[in-house]
Amino acid sequence: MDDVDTRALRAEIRAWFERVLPAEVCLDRAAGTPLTEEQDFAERRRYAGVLTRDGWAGLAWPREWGGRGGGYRERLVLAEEAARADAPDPLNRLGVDIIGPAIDVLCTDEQKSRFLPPILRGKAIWCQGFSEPGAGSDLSALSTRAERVPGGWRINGQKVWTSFGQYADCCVVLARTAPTVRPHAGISAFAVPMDTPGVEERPIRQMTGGSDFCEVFLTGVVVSDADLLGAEGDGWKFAMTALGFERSINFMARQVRLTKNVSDLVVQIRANATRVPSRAKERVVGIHARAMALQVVEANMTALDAGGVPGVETNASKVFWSETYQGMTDLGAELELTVPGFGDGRGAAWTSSYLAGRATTIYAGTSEIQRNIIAERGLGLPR
Amino acid sequence: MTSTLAEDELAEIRGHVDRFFDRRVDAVADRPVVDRPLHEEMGDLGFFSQGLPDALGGLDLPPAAAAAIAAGAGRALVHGPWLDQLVVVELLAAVAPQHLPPLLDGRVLFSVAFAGAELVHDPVTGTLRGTVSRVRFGSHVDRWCLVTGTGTHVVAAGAPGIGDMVEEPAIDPSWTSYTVTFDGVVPEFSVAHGPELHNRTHNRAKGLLACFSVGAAQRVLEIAVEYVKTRKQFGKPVGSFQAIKHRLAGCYIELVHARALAALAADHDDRTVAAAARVLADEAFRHTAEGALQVHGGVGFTAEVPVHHYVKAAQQARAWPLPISDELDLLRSALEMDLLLPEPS
Repeated sequence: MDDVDTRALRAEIRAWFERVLPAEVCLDRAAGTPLTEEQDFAERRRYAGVLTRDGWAGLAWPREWGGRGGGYRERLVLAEEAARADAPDPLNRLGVDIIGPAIDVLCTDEQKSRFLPPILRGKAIWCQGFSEPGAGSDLSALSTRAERVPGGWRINGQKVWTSFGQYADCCVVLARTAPTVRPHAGISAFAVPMDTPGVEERPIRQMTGGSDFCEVFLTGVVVSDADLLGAEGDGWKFAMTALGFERSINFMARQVRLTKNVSDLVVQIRANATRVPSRAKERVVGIHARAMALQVVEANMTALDAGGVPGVETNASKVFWSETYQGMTDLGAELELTVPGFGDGRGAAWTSSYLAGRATTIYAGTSEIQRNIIAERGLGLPR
Repeated sequence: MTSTLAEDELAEIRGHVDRFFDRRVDAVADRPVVDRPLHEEMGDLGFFSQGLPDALGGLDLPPAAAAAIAAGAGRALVHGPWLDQLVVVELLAAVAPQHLPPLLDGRVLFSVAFAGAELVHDPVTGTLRGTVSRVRFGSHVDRWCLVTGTGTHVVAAGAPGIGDMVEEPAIDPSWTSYTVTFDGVVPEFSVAHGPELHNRTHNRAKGLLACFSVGAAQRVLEIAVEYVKTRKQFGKPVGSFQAIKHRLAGCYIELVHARALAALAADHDDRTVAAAARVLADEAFRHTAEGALQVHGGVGFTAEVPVHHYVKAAQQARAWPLPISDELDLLRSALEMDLLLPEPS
């Protein structure tokens, strides 16, 4: 429920979407044809441009760095209106919602003034070089190394599942700088421009047919001391801070989108009411109830604005969201494949979402790792 | 509702309520059908009047306070009739506040039953005829408050003209209800009102029951967590094994979301939210109680630990105020009509 402040903001954002999306962003959306990967990327690029130009990209960023100084509540309004208007996924989501805020928390003033304004102006797309072939859920087992060279560091290793890697200008690379100490303590974070000699990215073809993420190879990549993010050995802290933002503000956008998707599914079921089996209606009722609960949990997260720290509730919501999302796309895909004409008229949207949705219980911490975290940190069970 | 509570004020109320029930209720013992001294103490502490405005002798607390009482009673598995008493107080405050005083100190106990066309009120003789099911607590309480779409009738339990009272099947021995035949019963008093008040009362009962279930689920999860931290097998606490961790973490995940929706339902007069809250609270409660039993192993199947009370209550809570299957039907027909997630506005 909006208070007076957010009501005006919502009206302003809604009008902006109505004006800008059809005229400047969603130029290739024709009825009956899904976007090609290139069209989708171009759309997201245009979207990032208008978000920046009109000042919405930095809605929740501090004024000091060119933002509007809003908080979680304002960001929620933007996410809800974006979902309502069916806006594309912004191109620099990682930079704006996750990496930028982590830089703001952990880095020097020089680094903030060097890195933050280009993120907000849409000049620098960032990606995360965290996971490795041998270090997924067990991130602290990473083996990419950075060794000291005069004036800087030389990095060797390989990263994987790097979303946006092929489009990014800069990558946060976690690398081991002190191999002898406890696994978590010997890791540092570096800002590595993607055009540095020795950086090579290779897109990975996914089961969806798209290539949203990459392998990144780092061979003798030299960066300067000024590119060490935070202090030496702060890499784990950087990663955890970034993941904290990922679980709060970034997941909010996904949950809000789920709400919209469930409403769409309900509308489509109603439009085909006589042909949709009653069993499907029973299933969508449960999905709807879950989406409603996620909406409430999300709204309660505005407590974060008052200085609250995200607890294991956010881990719980990640699991609940991803499983609800999968339930929704499973039902949508079944109906799309079995009820002729079912869908939004823009191609096989549900079957695509079904395939994409299989990643939701894996990325940003698998459901199994989330359950470990909940059990150990939330319930206090022994390791 | 004229006031709202800050999060710390609400936490204080919750702590107060939880400590009261902890002190008063033996977790392992069987619960009596109606614990009169407990309800008298609840009355003395203002539990039944807290939501009323100052003018009616209350503290003017918002619905979240009643939700905290419901969750606390759920933790301790005190079934009632505190819930009935709370919703009858709210109903009478709206239409007949002069009848409130006997309810507030918990000495006269009410149960509430929702009736449709099967209960007929003869406008000439003023008598009630018909058969009403799910009359809670039967003669263990003093008054039955029969809420219909056209008015509410308060009847003395055992009044002349009450015919057959058939006890309904129950899995939880402390949760009794009856199908009662009314054969020319004269109510103590009747008040006319429209269907809105019936629906509001119904939604309120559902919201509070969802809070009860979530409170109970939270407590039985705590009981399970304490047990698996101390019980050792293979030289280690069983709670260190991932199979146990994941089962209990799964309960927590359901609980967090059921709790959020239950709190919303207790605070909003909305039949879709109330139905969805009951569906999620029901799932969370059953899964948590069953999970707690399983991780206890053999002792979970005994009456030596309180888990069995929660397993029974979780099943029983599916029956009232509307069977869970009817809640699902209600949601499904809402879907066919106009059910959508509330759009941000």
